Amino acid sequence: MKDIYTTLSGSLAAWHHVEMVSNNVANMNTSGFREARMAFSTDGQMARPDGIFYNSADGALIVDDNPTHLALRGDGFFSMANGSYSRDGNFHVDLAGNLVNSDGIAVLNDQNQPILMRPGESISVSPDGVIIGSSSGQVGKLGLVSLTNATPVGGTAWTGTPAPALTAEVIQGALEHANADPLRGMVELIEASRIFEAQEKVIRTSDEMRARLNRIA
Amino acid sequence: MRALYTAATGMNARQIQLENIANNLANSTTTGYKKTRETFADLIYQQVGGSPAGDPMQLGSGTRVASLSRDFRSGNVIVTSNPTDLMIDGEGFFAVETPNGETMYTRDGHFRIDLEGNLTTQDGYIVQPGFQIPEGGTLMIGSDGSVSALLQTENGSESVSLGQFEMARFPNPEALMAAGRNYFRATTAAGEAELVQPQTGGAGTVIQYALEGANVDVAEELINMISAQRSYELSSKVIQTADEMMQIAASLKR
Repeated sequence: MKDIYTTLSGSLAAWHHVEMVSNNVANMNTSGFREARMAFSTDGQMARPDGIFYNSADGALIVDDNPTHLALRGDGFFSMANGSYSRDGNFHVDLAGNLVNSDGIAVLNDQNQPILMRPGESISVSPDGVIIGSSSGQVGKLGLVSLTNATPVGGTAWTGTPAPALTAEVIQGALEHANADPLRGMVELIEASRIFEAQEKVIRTSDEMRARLNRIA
Repeated sequence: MRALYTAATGMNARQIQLENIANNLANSTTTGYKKTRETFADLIYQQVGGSPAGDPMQLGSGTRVASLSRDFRSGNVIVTSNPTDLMIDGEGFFAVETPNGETMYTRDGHFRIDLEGNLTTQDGYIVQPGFQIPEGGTLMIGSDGSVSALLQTENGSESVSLGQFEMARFPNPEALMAAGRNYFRATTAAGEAELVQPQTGGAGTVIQYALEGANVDVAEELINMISAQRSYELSSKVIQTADEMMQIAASLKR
């Protein structure tokens, strides 16, 4: 009865697929979020998920003119003080004057140090990540990295192997919208549920055949 | 089952987003109102197995509201003809004292003069450091925050100095606690209020005969509302699909 188990693995894959889409859709308004996509492969008879990869296309720019909101274009991540990396440039200045994200984690400069702002000072950020204070001059340069084996860990944070970002560009006064595509999400849902349904038919047919076989014997 | 809960976190987050938009829109004509913006973050990822190549396969478990942060950028200038209407052009706050001695902070400069001649807010909270306007005097405020009253006398008019405005500044105004009725309370996270003279340290200048409108952009709120609503709808579709799949699975066993 190998066919039933073969089919079952296909059903499970479709199920994981829906779970993945569910997370994409739930995070459609999370800035810096990257859509997960599932790759399928068949080894012999089994259709199984071949792992998840992440859409690395830039998300839409949402311009809000907030000077501490930074969006990235191209291959790059912000380095954060907890050792993670993030595409979410929703920053503000905390009580100690550090540039931090919504969870209060400091953004690091290219020397892996927090970026200290002077209160009341307005900043301008150049495309290569250099932060200039209106009265104190250069405040620092953002520690932008490019990640290989990037894996999300939640809280808009990622882990991976960092290398200097060569093509990343910083845009001040904007946030990067999640790059999850709602249309794609809905198509994937339909696809996954149809695959699931088809597997169910196979299981049922196989079950009926077995019942018939039992009657003959 | 995970898909159901993941989608539910999306619907929950959209609901909070909508509630926040509703509050911004409701206050789009409130003097000195500062809009709040919600930000989201993804939740933890769980490993559900690996690919044949050994790459881990991780599934996210949804979204959460990471913060509701207040946007303290200035609102529009509304010109009035009332001498006790003041506006701060800058980052400072007016400090006011409640009857029980608590100091609160506001951007709403729609003040009045009470029976004893004090400059107060509409709720009767005394504007700090306290200004007593003589009867019949017209309030005059210089851009440097100097406060005086113009009195009519037998030989023309006379200006009487009443003091000097001090603006409260916070290291981290985003962490101030909104107390309602346009007041803010200081918090540990917002830091100690620093009283500075207008025109120093970004505190701004005091403008008379003007009020600060809300900094709510109605079009922006409406766009966010559409986005939240659609996103809510999409999450509900995920729930529907997951439910249908579970029905199929359950129907396998007759």
